[in-house]
Amino acid sequence: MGELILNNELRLEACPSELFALFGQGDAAVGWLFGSEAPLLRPGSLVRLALPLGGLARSPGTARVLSCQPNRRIDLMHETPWAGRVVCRFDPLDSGGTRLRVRVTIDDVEVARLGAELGLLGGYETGWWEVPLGLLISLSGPAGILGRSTANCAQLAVEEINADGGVMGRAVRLVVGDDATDPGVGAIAMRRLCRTPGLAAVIGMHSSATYAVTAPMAVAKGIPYLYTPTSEPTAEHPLLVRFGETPMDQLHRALPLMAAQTGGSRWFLAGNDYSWPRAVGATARAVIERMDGHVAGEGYLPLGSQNFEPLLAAIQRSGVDHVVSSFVGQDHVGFQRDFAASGLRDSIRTFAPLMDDAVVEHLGESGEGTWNALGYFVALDTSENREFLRRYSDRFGSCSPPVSAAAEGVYEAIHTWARSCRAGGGVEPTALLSGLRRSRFNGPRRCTLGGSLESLLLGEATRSGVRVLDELPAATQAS
Amino acid sequence: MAPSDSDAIFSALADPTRRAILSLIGEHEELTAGEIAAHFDSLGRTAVSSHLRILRLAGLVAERRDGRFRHYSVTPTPADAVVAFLTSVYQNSLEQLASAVQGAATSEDTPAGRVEERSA
Repeated sequence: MGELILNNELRLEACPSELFALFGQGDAAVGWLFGSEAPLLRPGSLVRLALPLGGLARSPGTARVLSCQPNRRIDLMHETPWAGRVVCRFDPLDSGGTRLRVRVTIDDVEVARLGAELGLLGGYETGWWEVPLGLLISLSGPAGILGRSTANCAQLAVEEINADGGVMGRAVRLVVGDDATDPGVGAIAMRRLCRTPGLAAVIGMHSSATYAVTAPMAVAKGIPYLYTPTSEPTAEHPLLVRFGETPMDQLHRALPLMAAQTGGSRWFLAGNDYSWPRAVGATARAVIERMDGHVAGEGYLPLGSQNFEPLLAAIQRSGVDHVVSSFVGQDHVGFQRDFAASGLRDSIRTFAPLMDDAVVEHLGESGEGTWNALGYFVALDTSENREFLRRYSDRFGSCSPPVSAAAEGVYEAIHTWARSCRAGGGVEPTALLSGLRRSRFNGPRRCTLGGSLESLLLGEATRSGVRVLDELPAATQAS
Repeated sequence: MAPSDSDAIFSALADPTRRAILSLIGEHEELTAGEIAAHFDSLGRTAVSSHLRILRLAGLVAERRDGRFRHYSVTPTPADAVVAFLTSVYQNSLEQLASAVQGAATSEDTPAGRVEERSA
């Protein structure tokens, strides 16, 4: 495999320690790389980037520290919106200044993906002996900051399937599209995926706003679409297979438990303004009214929002005890941080249906005490999960993004797809769909045949991860 | 590729709407501005035309006139553009660092402060 190497060299008057001290302080004036947010320069720690790729706004990205020698060298793994390696070397000059060398390495597969996303290079190439499997995820835009562990888990599942003989004797080849957290871009990315000759199925881990546009495309092309995230129920079709938690699964037991703990009855519903957060709002209202609680206010902001002050003021005025916060990706991080900084967190508890281990890493201490109910948290203490986490860490190293519920959901969906193809005797839709009814993958989640969720975990964010408090039945199992 | 080309490519691709327009054109042989506008809910014909002009000046999109219509397609030397774009994204960051800490001087043997290489 080839790679693209970009070497940059600067001679600067500042000494190495001065330059080194600038790195990771979040000062945008020193450029997006040095101006990143990196509170810790320890191996494995997160580096938050604000790239100049959002038009007038900044566009979020992530990297991770691989190693660091103070005042001499910083090695980073760039994770989103593309994957690469960045090495910064600080050499002292006799003049007292610094020779700064920055070497960026991006592998050819990633360059080809970026070229395809930009419309500059053709579609995805696969061999005749391979089974192409589409993966539509968010690697850029507000949800992109959580995308790398999803891409990793998909890759891990495909490698495990191929090590086990592939599907019907053929190797599975993943083709990855990025919806940029935008339905319009998602439609273009889906069109490109669907042009891949022999595409067996698409695994989708992206917003339901994108799904509303891409699901009819899959149906029109006759391609099975396995949609994995937390999402609201939508129109049904045999080719559209949903795996994720519904808002009712997440809220029906958890909100009463939270109210029992606080003794409060007043709620505020907040989130991004599209179908899923609105569906969470409607479900939350129903659950809250059923337990004689009161929805004192509601507020929705467009994706990509950065100013939460008016919303926080409205929450303060409403005098609530709890907030249900269905913000997404970078917006979720921004809202929770501002919520904590405003002091509101001291008196108001938050339930956030997208809070998972990857989000908690971005939130740090500002997420502490937030609750969520999902099919998976890293802390799940079962032998299946320990085995899965060991495989992930063996494959991607200790300096890799934490597995999230979203990422693990994709891992299980791909294994479920492969098992169903084997059970059904082929990769074509009829074989897959008949196999799906008879197949089960024994992964970390509690699932029935076909991958439906049996139970969820109630989790609470701590500084270092999510603590599992309880196991709750899925809504469909409970009724 | 000359630095000015890279700068133009970077400016053109630093905007998410232009990236989406380019991506859409790449999925078709040719598209008119009207067909492009029809794909995006919140984008008028005038805005599309001004984005197309920037993409055309950066050498990413070609224009063909046919009577009243102008048809747009992706230009045929796209691989270099991906490299130029990625180079500029990192370069842009280091130029800002240099001007922020002042007294910046680029090395003599790499005048633009950049070297590209391919390894197999």
